Amino acid sequence: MSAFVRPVSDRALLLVLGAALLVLFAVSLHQGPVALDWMAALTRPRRSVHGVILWQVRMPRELLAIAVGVTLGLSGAALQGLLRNPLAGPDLVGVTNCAALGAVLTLYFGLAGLAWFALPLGGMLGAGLAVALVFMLAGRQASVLTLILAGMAINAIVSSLIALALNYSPNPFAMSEIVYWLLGSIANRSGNDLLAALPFMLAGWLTLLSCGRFLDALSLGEETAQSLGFAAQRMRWRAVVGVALCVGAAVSVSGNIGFIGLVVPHLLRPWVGYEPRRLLWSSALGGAVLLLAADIAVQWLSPGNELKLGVITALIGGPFFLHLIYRNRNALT
Amino acid sequence: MRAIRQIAATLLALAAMAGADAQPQRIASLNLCTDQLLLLLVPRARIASVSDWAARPESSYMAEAARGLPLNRGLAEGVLPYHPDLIIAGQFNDPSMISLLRQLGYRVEVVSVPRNLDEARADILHFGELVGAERAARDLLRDMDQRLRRIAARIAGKPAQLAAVYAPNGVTVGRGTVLDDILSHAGLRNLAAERGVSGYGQFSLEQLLVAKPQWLILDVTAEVSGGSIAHSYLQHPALAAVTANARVVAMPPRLSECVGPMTVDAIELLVSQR
Repeated sequence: MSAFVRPVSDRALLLVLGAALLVLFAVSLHQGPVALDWMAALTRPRRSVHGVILWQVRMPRELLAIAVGVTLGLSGAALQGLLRNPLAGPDLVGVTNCAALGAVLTLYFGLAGLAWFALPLGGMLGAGLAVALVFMLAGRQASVLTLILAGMAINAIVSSLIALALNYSPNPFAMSEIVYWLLGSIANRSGNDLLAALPFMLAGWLTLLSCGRFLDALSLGEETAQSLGFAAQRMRWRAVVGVALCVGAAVSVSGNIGFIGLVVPHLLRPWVGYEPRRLLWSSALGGAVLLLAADIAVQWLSPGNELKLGVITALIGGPFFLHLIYRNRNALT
Repeated sequence: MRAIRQIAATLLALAAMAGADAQPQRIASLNLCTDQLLLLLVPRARIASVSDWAARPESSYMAEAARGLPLNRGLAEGVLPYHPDLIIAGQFNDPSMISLLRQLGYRVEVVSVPRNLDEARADILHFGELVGAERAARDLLRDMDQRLRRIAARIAGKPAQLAAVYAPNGVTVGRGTVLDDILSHAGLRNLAAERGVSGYGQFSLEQLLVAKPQWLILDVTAEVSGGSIAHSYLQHPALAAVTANARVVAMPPRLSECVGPMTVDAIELLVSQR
């Protein structure tokens, strides 16, 4: 595919992705179990039932979809650049699952009520631990395969720990909610969830976007980056913090939505001329587009009793992952 | 003639003694609903074991009475140490466990678990016969019927208002459920039943907002330690638009899980708020 793609300008890319995002956003607001009376929703936003549905039910949910999509796309692009590994993604190296474990420990044992930021904090601590572990494991010479296998091991351990933690929770619903944490969903998330997670996601995005020039330099090799004046070790830690902030906060209110961080940077890379810095912001937009589309799909496929988002993203991402492994098979052996 | 009368009297006395012997003395129950009936009808000394659900105040109307009794987890191995002479299971207990208990030589009676007060009448009488407490069962029913008549008199002539039941995870209850029967005895219309929901079903927050029920019955355990995604459904800010115009009643599961005198308590709880 990449052979047929010519890099396009930032403006053209922004226009296409931005337009797609706007259209999907409008569709997602229009779609739902109740046929929305837009007239009432817009003229009487607080007084009418349709106003409440638009502004308090659908709007926070779809804004959250965008924020989580931005987080996953952006952190996927950053991790692929930093680890110089085409198969990296926040879920594949175990970061999202660890964030989910942190959130589970906070929510089901009554700690989430202690402060408005307690739940995202739990997620961020989990994510931070995992991403630091990944960078230590990866070191400088880790092969593409080592990292992915390590991620598999981390994911196996952490999903078991999530099940174990839910099993010991005093809440009678805990065990049945393992599906939510392992596959992710934003159904019925409210403005409160969005507001609790958004500040940390914003901080994470800005931190990651500030690594752009370093990623450009790093793509020419570690030594080149050093000689261009980048303190590689410090920049790596900055990226660790950025990923931990936004992925931890996002997962704490949406569960583990897989494959977006893997797929989106790959689809967009040829269009940005393989420049990691340009890939960062375009993957952020692309992630939002893909997650919104997935959220529209789950509502359309199973209205009322919604599928989990991870079901859709894995159906797209799984085959794509296989395709990447096949394409990189020479590098992997 | 006198001799014959004497023999007859002796025989009768013997039969009565045999009858007393036939009354089960160590009864075990494996199901929350049969646990509670057992605790209501039978003296404590004749109860060998009830399920652990019966001792939990959030799920059991008879938690106080169950305190101190040997608890089983609804499993065969939980009741065997108490050498029960009668084991009572509900129709939804695991059939393979029941056949295992029967193979081991225990007397197991599987009773139907009623879902409404009409069904419950025959079931409670049958249960009373099984456990040798016919009289207590009749007294219990008479008491329930008296209370139900008072309720019916109190709501007579009042308009049937629309009520929605909402539980964690956006679950609602429709036709054929205990809560549906509770609502209709309290003179309320069940929104979910009118929308064709049978048993438990999903009802989105949006549908609830549009339906504008006059009553919102929250089917929740009041004090749950630790949060969950399911419970966060009930904290959604948009729900305030429903609760602003509706009477909100928290219905504790211990009143709505099984049918019996607790059902009448539940109806009285609703009627008292009309």
